[in-house]
Formats: sequence, structure tokens, C-alpha cells
Amino acid sequence: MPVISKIEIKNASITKDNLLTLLEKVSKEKTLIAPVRNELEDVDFLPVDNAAAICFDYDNTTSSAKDFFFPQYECMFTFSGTSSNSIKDKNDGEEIVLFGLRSCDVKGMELLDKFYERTFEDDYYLSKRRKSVIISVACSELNQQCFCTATETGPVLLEGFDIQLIGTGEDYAVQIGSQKGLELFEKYRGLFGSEVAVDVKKLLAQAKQQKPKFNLQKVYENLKEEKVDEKFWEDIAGRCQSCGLCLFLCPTCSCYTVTDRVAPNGESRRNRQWDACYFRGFTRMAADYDPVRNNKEMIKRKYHHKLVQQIDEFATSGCVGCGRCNLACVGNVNWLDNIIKIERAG
Amino acid sequence: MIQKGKISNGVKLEYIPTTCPYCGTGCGFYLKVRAGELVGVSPSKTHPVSQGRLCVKGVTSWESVIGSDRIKKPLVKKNGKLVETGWDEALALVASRFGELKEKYGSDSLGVWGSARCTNELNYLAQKLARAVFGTNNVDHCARTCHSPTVAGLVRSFGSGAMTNSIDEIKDAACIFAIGSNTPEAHPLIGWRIRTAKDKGAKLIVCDPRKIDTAQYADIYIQHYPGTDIALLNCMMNVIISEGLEDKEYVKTRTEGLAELKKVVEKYTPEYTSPIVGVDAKLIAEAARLYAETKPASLVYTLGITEHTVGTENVMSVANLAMLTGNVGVESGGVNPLRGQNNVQGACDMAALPNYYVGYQKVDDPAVREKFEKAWGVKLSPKPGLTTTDQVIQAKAGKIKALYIIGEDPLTSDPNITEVRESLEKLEFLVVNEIYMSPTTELADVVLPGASFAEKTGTFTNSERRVQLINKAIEPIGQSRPDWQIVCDVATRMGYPFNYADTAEIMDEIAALAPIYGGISHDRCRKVGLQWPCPDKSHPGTKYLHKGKFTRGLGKFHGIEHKPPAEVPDEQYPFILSTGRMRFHYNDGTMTRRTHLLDREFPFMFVEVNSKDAEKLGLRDMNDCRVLTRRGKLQAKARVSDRVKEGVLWMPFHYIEAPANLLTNDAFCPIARTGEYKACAAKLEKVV
Repeated sequence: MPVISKIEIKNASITKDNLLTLLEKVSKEKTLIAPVRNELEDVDFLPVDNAAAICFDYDNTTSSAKDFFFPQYECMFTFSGTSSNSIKDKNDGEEIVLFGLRSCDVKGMELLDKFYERTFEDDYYLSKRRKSVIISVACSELNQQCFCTATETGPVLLEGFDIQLIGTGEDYAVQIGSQKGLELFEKYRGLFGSEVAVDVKKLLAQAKQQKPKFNLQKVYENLKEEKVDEKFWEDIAGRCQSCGLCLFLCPTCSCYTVTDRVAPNGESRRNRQWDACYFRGFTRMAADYDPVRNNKEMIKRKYHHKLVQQIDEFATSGCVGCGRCNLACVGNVNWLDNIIKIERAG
Repeated sequence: MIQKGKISNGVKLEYIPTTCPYCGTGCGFYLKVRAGELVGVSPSKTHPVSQGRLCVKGVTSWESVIGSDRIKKPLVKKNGKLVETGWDEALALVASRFGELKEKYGSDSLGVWGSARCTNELNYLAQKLARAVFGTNNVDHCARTCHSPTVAGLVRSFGSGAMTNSIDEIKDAACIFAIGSNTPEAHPLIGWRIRTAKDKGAKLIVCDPRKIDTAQYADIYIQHYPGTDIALLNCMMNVIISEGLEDKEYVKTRTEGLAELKKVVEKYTPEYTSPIVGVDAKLIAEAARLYAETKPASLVYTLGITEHTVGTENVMSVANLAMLTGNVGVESGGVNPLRGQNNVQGACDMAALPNYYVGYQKVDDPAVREKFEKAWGVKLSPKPGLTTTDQVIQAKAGKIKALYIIGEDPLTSDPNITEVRESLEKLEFLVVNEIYMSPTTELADVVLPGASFAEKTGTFTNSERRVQLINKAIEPIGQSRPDWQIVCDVATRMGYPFNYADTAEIMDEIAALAPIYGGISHDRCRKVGLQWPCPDKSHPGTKYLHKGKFTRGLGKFHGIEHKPPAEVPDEQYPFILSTGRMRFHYNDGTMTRRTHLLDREFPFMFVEVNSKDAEKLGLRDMNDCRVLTRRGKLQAKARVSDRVKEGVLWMPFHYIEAPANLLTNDAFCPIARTGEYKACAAKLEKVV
């Protein structure tokens, strides 16, 4: 069963007041996750129990929403003694509605969906995704750190969303793109207004003109053909402090490691937690042999993975242009600046 | 057979703002909590120190306190074995034994160790327990093993023993002079400022016996021998003075004692100094000119300066250099000791120190003592107490009979731990408050399980004097309790009731007694913290110190001669062994060794050795080898590279199964009583 059963896109509209009413109702009936600005002025996705708690004026959240489907740390199953009969699987059952994802993050989620469906079905991830509905909000202004126009992941989506809201000044144009989206729409049909057609292709073309950052195809070719100077990679390798934070914040990074631990409540648990290719322990083998010979190769591998390999495999960029990693680096490695340097290398 | 759908992880995610429990940088982040359990960390973009960034230890810090082997119940020793018991029995035993021993041997036979790992509130209560209940000034904490020379040295030079400037100012310095500080590994978010300054065009001078990360991109890198810092600094000052590069106006109006300095540094010409430090004479002169001529210059140092028998004099020497060039009391300049533990600044401020009351008020000042006697309603001892170093020594001599140690493992972290063990074994009563078992808890008569940073509320004060909140994210694990509550119960059971509703109330008492904390309260610290000195409730806090005037009036130069380490290489032990911290681990490894992603990076003890020395010994990278000193021997993997120069070895100190402090020298700075962890004589053998 695919995570998103696409339907022919259906158009509608909703007023700001009715959107608040919708979110208020959803928050009472289901688990609603939305951007929240806390008392320290940070904005992140958190569960909310009323619409008034939701933040609407934000560029994007500090962390991505992947934590709700692929948590930083999650119990896979519990066990006791030596019998396999004791294994109890953890299986998340809650239906959630996620409001406020930006287009880039929806595309990031789509890539995670593809990854976790690819070889075998990863039930821990997919069971949560299948029970979720995402109401995404297209960006009307482009901020300086992000670059979805170059990675072709926004600021508006052509497809792949459940429900997409596009600001029209006072109100929102609404597009319904999946069966799950349609079910939510039908349930609250009365809050939506008549059809407002939006020319998404035109919006995308306008945005691209406004903010040309790099040519993805050129970046892909230069990386694939190894046209980038070794000194470029050496500089990044010297800057990287292997904290892993850029990868933890990345909406498409999907690596995890598995540990067993006795939990504070005494249960024996098998857990999985985020891992990152910027740790040597990620690839190192017995006798200290590491197929990724040094930090330079490690860094190269990441750029290649996101901007060549994933494009080859999924026909979509592994970098969705959200820009989170640019603001997280203690070595001042700026992913966007570096992609532009790669583009110009050839 | 897997039963589906029995339990749910749930999505009810909460973000609890808190302060990192590792180094003294004081980054802020959110602990992620689901169903009452820690499940991760998320950065805070608005935090003034970390600004959306974190190091690998901060990112993984949530995992450090949920180890399966947290101490979950109090333990008491019965027939030589520690057995679980209830709080009532454990506390009754602690109170009665300390009471009996005080009666039998006198107050000064007891000692309390506060902790740079714990909150300000805990440290305040720990010293109050020692002073008002035990009746002794024998209270100290683990800063003794690291930055006590900073307090002693900077008080002598400037009048105040703290980092002079703020962390974020470093990125705007025109020149950064980093000596004895592996900043990117030990203080990564300060390393970020150095990187940013350099990216913006600042000049960078790095002096370190190891070719650390910052050395790779420094304008000048000086690889001097461990234990030759004074010679190096004197030589720089010699060049500055002989070439007339000192800030004459500043020296004239703001300082005193230049003549004394001049007299001493006169002989430290580059030619004279070069063989002592093992560095080309021209390079030292070049560094001196660059530092003197590029302003503002921020001087950064860490334990490479302090952990020597000349630690305090090292600190006064860096102060000399900064004053000579007019760099103290200016924005983006200063003398910046980077504190190694989350609350080492706060533990000092709170007077977990034998010679001060809270806020650096001297115990031997009768007027001050009277103020505290009145506030606490008891007679107080006028005699400064013993440092942790001397409490250990006096335990062996039979003068210290009982210790209450909080959040510290001297059997891993003190130099020459064989000697420390002999001392602690002689105690009649040892109480240890910890979160995990350690070599020290094994020796204890009573082990009290403390709650971790994630399980309690309080404040830490970071390296730049910023008082910041930690907030309770989860319930204490097992029957563990916040350490401040445990201290309250001990005091109360000993007949002196400590009654506090919460830690905010303790901070109010601190503010009432310590003028530098006068305006600080939990409510005011909630958003971005508050930097002391903060004398009243409307004061905005202080970004940098000594503006216009030093705390002591005039800055004081001290003429200081180079003295070699207590133990120098000889035929039998031909190497200089130095020790330190690495990026993926923290101190005794109590928390980082229990963090999967961190322990996986560096799971075993190693020794860095120069490739030429390795070749002579037939050693290849990752070969087993043995490091021997006059105090002990350890097996480790050889890491062969050019990070250390010939004749130098370096080991991390994070491994309790191979503790570097079996080897280090228990020779101490005579002023600050800090051990010489950074230099001793050693021998290296291949294990065949």
C-alpha cells in the first residue's frame, strides 16, 4: 500500500478564520502536529491541543518533521529472558494530522517514503506515515538560506501532497492531492469554499526567475564526472567536526543504528536511533579498517549521495533545499555555497 | 512470535529547554521527551551561546543519563559489600556517622566535595553543609584538578578570576592567540568562533604541543614542549619590549609592576628560549609581533596552561602578555580561560572552595564572616580549609577522617590514583553521591543516587559567567533524587534544618549574600541567562570585565622565571607524557562511554606517538604498546602520526579500564594545588 494514493488534483479554498476553525476541530479529534513558537522564540513542530498555539509566521522549523515518523530514538520491540515468545513489537497506532510543512519538507518526506518502501517495507516508519495526513503550506516569500527553486522541491508543489494551501493574500487556495487528503476534506467540507484555481507551474517559473541559485543538472554532472578540485573537498573535511547535526536536521537523512538497553522502567528494549555517515563508527570495520578512508572521502560521499546517487535512484534530488544544515555547522560549512562552487567547477 | 500492537511509542513529543551538561561553553538545547522518557536533543537557534549549533556530545547528551546501570537505590556497605537500602536508612547512617566523627575528631576531620558537574544551588548547599553544619571550611570541588590556577592567577593579576570576555566576542577579534587549548575538540562551540574569526580575516596563533585542528589553519603554529609555556611567553614579551611594541599608554595608566617584568624577561631572547621550548627562534618573534600589532587580540587558554606545577604562574604569564599589549578590558580582546566543566565557574562562584564564601568573599575576613554567621545563625570557622588535593593527602596522614563526595571520581581523575586509593581507603567514612557506579563509589560506605541534569531544575554558570537554567525534563530514574534535596536532608537530620521549597528559593538566598549574584534569580535567567557581575534586579549583567579599570584597581605584572616540570625525561624515562580530552569523550567517560554513538567512535585507550619515535621502537599504527612511568604502567594502542613531536607522548584520560592517571605525576602547583597532568617522564615499549 503506497503512503500516498494520488488522486486527480481537486481545487477548493479556505478563509483564514475557517482554517483556524478546521485546525481547532482537528486538534480536538486527532493528534495535531504544527509549528509552535515557544517562549524562547524558537519554532518547531510539536503536538498542539488548540489552534491558538500554532505559529503561522515562520520561515521553517529548526528541526524537520521526520522525528514524528522516524524518531531520533524509538523502541522497536521489548523482550525479556531468552524466549522469543517474550518479544512484543512496538507499533504506533495514532492517527496524526501534520499542519504547516513547507513544500521542501513534503518532498523530503516523499523521499523517505521511497527509501523505506524500497527493498523491504520498514513497518516502523510506514505504519506511522500511513496513518498521517499532511496539510502543507506553500512559501509565499523565499528566504535567504533555502533554495528549493534550484532543487526543484518548491516553493509550491505540483503533486505528492495530501492537502496543499497556497496563500492568496487574504485567504488560501486549497489543493487536494491524495485519497487521505480527500477524506479529511470531505469530513470538514463545510469549512471550505469554492474552487480557486492556481497556476502552480506559473508560480514555480516565477519563483525560479526570482531566485536562481544553481543548475541542478550541472551540479549532478560535475559531481558524477569528478570535476571538483581535491582542495575543495580537503577544505570541507578540515572544517567538519563530525557532530552529525547537519545530518540529524536533514529531512531526507534516513540512517539509524540499533542498540539494546534496559529502559528506566526495567523493560529490555531494542531501540533504533539516528546515525550519521559523518561518524567513523558508521563505516569502520574490524581491525580499524574503514572503507571510507578519510574525512575527505566521507564528505565527498555525502555530496555524491544526495546529488547524484539519489537522483539516479529516485529521480529526485536528495537535497530538498531546506537550508537547515547551513545554520548548524560549527565549521562554517555552507552546503548551498558549496553546491554553487561545485556547479562552477566544470 | 511477535505480538503486534501491544505498546505504543506515541507522538506526544515535548521540548524542554536546558543547558548542556558537558563543557563550560554552556550551549542551550531542547531535550526531547516522549511518554516521560528522553528521546533526543534538538538545537535552539535563539540561544546566545549555541545559536542553532551543537557539538557531538551535546547532540547525544540525552543518551548519557539513561544507561541501564544508573544507580537506582541508595547503597550501604555491609560486610564489605554495597547493598541496596532505603533512603531513610541511608540518610540516618550518613547523618549519625558524620555527627559521631565530628564529635570524636573535631570539625576539621571532615570534608565536603561539591561538584562542577552539579548546579549552583547544590554547590551553595554543599558548602553551607560543610561550614554551617560540619563546622569546617574543608570544602572544595573538582576545579582543583583543572582551573584553580586560573582563579588564583587572575585574581593576583586582575583581581577577578574569571573569563574576561564573552564567547561571542571571539568571532570579532582581529587576532586570536590560543595556547594550551584544543578548542575545537574540548570547546567546539568556541572553536566555531575561532573558525568564524579566521574566515572573516582574523590572524590566528596556536601554541600547543600537539598539531591540533586549529594548528592546521593557524597563521602561526608553535609546537613547544609540554611545560615550557612561561619560557615561550617571556620570550614573546622580550621581543615585544625590545622592539617597543607594547601599549605604552595602557601600561602606564592601567598597570603596575612593569619594571619587575622587564627585569625577568630580559634574558628570554629568542635565541636563549629556542632550545628550551624546541621551537625556531624566528617563529616566536614573528608570533610576538603578530599578537602585539593586531588588535583586539583575544587570548584563549585551557588546561595546557593550568595543569602544571607552575599552573598559577602560567596563568599570570598569559595575563602579563595580554596587559603588556593593552588587550584586557576591551571588547573582543581579553584573557579567556575556557572552563572545562558545565558548572566549574558556578561551583567556584558558590564557594565550593576552602578559602571563600559565596561570591569570592574571604573566610578569613572577620567582617565577611560576621555577615555569614548572622545569615546562617551559627559560629563559623575563621580558618581557611583544605583543598581536595590536601584533603586526600591528609586522609593518608590520618587527619581527615570522613568525606562527602558529590559527582566526582577522584580514583579516575586525580593524578597518581594508586596513591589516592591508599588515602581514601584510610577514611573511616566515605559518602559518594553519584549517578553511575565508579571506582570511587566502590570504596564508599554509603552511595547516594543523584538525579541527572535532565531530572532536576537549577542553574549552571558557563565560562563567560552566564547563569543559565536547567529544567526538569523527566522524573528521576529509579529512586534517585536531586542532589540538593539529599544535602538538605543530611543537614536537617544533623540538627540544622535546610528548608527550601525549590531551587529558585536557594538562588534567592545566594543573591542576598553574594553581591556579584545580587540581581540574579531563576525568573531572570529563563530566556538568555544573565552574566555576573549583576549586582541588582535591574542590572542587565556584564558582558566583559575590567573595562576602564581592573577589579583590583591596577593590573599587576609579575616577573616569572621558567621552571621545568617536576619530572623531566631522563635515560630511563625518555619521553614527556601529556594527557587531555578528545572531542567524542568527556573526562572520566562516565556519560560518554555510555553513549553509543560516542563510545563507538573511540572505544579504547590509545597513545599518540611521533612516527620517528615509533619507527625506532618498531611500532606501527594500532600496535599494542605499554606506557610506563615511575607510578604505573598501562597498555594502549599506538596511534602513530606527526600530531606530537619527537620525544612527546599524549594520552586521553577517558577510560576507567585504562586510566591515564595511573601514570600522571602527583606533583602539585604550590599555590593552587593542581596536579601536573600535562607533563611527566615516561617510557614506551612495544608489546610483543
